[in-house]
Amino acid sequence: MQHLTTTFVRRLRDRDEAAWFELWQVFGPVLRGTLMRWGNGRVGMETVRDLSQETLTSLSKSIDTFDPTRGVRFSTWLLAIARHALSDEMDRRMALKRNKGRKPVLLQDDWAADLAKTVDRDYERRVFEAKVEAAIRRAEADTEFVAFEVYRMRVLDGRSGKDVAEQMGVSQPTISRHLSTARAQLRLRLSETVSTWSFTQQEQQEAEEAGLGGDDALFDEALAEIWHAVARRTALLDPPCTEDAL
Amino acid sequence: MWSIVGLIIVAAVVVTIIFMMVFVFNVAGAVLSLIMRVIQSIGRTVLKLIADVTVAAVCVVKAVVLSMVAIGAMLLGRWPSAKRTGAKVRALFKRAGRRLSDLPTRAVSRAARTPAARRAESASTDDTDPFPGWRIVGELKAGGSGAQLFIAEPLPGNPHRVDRAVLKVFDLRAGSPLPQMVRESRALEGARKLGMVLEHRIDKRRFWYAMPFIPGDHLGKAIGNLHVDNAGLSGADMRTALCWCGDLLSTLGEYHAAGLWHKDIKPENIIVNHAGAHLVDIGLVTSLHSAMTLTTHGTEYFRDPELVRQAIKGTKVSDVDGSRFDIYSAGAVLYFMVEGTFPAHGSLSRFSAPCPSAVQWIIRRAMADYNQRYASVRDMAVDLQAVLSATAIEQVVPAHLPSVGNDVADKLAGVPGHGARLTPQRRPQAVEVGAPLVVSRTAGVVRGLWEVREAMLRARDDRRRSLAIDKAARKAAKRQRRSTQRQAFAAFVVGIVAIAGVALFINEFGEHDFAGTKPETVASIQSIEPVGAGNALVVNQIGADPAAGDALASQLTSWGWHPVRDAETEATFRRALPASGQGAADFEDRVRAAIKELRLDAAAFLHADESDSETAWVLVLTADDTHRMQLSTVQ
Repeated sequence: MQHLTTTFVRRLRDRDEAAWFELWQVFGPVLRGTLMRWGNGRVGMETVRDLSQETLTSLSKSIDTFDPTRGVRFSTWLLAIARHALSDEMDRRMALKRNKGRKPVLLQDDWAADLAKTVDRDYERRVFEAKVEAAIRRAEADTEFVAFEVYRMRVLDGRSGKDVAEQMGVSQPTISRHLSTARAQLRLRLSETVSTWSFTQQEQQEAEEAGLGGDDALFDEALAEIWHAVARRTALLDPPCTEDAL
Repeated sequence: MWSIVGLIIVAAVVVTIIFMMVFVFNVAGAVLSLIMRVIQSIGRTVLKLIADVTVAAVCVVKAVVLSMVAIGAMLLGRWPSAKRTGAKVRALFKRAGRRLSDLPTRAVSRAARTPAARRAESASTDDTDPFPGWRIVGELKAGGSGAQLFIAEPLPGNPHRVDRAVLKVFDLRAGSPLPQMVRESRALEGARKLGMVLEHRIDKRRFWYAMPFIPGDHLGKAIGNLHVDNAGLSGADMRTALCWCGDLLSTLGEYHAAGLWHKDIKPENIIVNHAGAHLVDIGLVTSLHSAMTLTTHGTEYFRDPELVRQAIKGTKVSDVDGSRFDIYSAGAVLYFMVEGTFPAHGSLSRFSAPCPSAVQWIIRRAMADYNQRYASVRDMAVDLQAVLSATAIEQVVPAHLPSVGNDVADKLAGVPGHGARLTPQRRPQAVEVGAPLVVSRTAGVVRGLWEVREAMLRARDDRRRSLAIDKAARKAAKRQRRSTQRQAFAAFVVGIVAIAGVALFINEFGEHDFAGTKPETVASIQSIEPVGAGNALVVNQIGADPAAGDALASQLTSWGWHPVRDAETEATFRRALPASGQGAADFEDRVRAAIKELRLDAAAFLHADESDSETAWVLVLTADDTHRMQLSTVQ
């Protein structure tokens, strides 16, 4: 178990609101997407938002008894909480229909082992991508603005070094220097983020398997690929802006 | 062919009738609604009149009774009591008189009062004058603050020189939340400094203030019109949007200079009209130096996540620079303008619509981390102005922006031996923001001339901008109109096609008919003229054109046949023909059997060419042969 993981879990147990906000910000979209899929059209966007908040509330209740050393993946842990939240919501709805209550499903400790078998790869990939996006966000905050923008233009937007140099009005060696700075920060933040939100050895190795542990060229290529995959998925999931949405 | 044309015409007529009926029903609905309103208003007025008369009558009765009591007190010599009772009698008569004296005037004014005014009156504490100096003329959609918004006109004697004002009314009785009332009242002082509040009143349960009314659409709607074709902004539209952003930054500059931050910048709070963009809603305006703790108020996607983080930590307002949160929101609004949607991923939101790289840079810089974004709205405005001053916005790159130039130059100064820097040669000719400044600094005499020139250019730019905004608004309205027309036309066409399709379907499968039989499916056709003698039945398949039947009969006569035209016999032949889509293998046999049975010598079928509606064909079947040939041109 990584030190960062235990630290983060401890922060959650200590009701550190900043830690909860971070968890909500990073994994909120994944939870919403998963709940939407499970809801299969029966729950609307507003309910999904409520449920994803409910998930985190349930999580805050179960965090005290949860033992991360039992070998359950972080993503599985999160998914189980979401499933219980959705299950409770469905029970509540059914109870309203029948005009009589049914005891909600209790959150127990032994759910995770069964659930681990049912977790699909798509969900796992999305959790991993959420971690990568969180790492990019943190790197963006900690890297000098110009350096990160250069990295964004060169690697994430796929422009040539010459084009970026012309855009920025600097020489290509300067662009390379900015790239190195941003990349170093990204590697650092990626390592931290993955460590924080990984309970198992398998989760720890996901970044390596995705090519994020290789040399600079491989790292850039893998990161850009994940970035574009996330973009494609969010373009499908994000609702178009409407007046009501505002 | 003619039957299809006929069906289409019928379909067109049906659809036109439907459209006309919709229009008629709409008009009838509006008229009925008006009549109902008038009846409702008259009913309400009559009820009120009855109430007024009743109150006056009760007052008179009470006054009469009390008068007797007063007289009794006088007779008993109890002067103080008689005096008090006399005063009550006077007050009662006065009240009854007031109720009855202006009865007609009040009835008329009540009937003429708008529903909004009546609602405003119900929200007031004083029935006679809810908002002294203002007359309610309309109502606006309420926001999330729990307040009612009314449009009002100043009455004679009102000191405020405005055409219209918006009255924001908080009423505890109507469910307005007290914390929001307290928050808004706190923001009043600052807003008055900026001229955003004309006057305000507060009492035990109600609080209202008047703001200048700004006509126009909110930015969300205006941008929606510009993005109607989902192709992003370009050319004049992009320039218009950037001008609106410039207006927003200018207003924010005034806020920050006055020591305030708006805290709720979003498209709905920006009103756009021919004069530019105007920031409204002072509901969350806060002093930059407030000793209060930060709150998470604001609107998701336009609110800086850092604000939420700091609020969770319990940071005080005075410990952070609130103006930077406004800068983030301004960047998010600019993103909304360019993309037509909110930045769902904050600073990592991607651009899918075409956007100049310099504008992308400005947005990202504004939405960057708290410590890395623009230090002030002025810095952002300078960058935006650099983009706007270019003749071709699309060609402006980040290197041309003043903030990037400074940043890069400063940074590169610390890199020993590095030759790369922003050189004037590398900047495009279109952007010449720095040049006038340099000249003005080096030559004091020239400075005055430059200032005059700049003022002239600014005036010209303002004029152009105003024209561009008007043009964009007209264009958007036109586009909207066209879109509606296109949709109506599409609905019309779809209606016709649908009805024609249904008619054709019924025609094809509902009844056995020769119309779908292709002549080419008939076996052993000869194209030699069917010269012969005897009776030849005329079967005219161009039913809508009897002249064609006559032409065939005439043609048969010229070939030596005696044409027979009998509807009943013709029907027998029609039944012998193969159905649409079926084979015609036994067609000739069946026709020949029918010829024999009816003691005819031949049967001549007249049908139109499917590919050429002006060409008619003749199919003549005798006991031995089958002939097919073009008859003539059908007119």
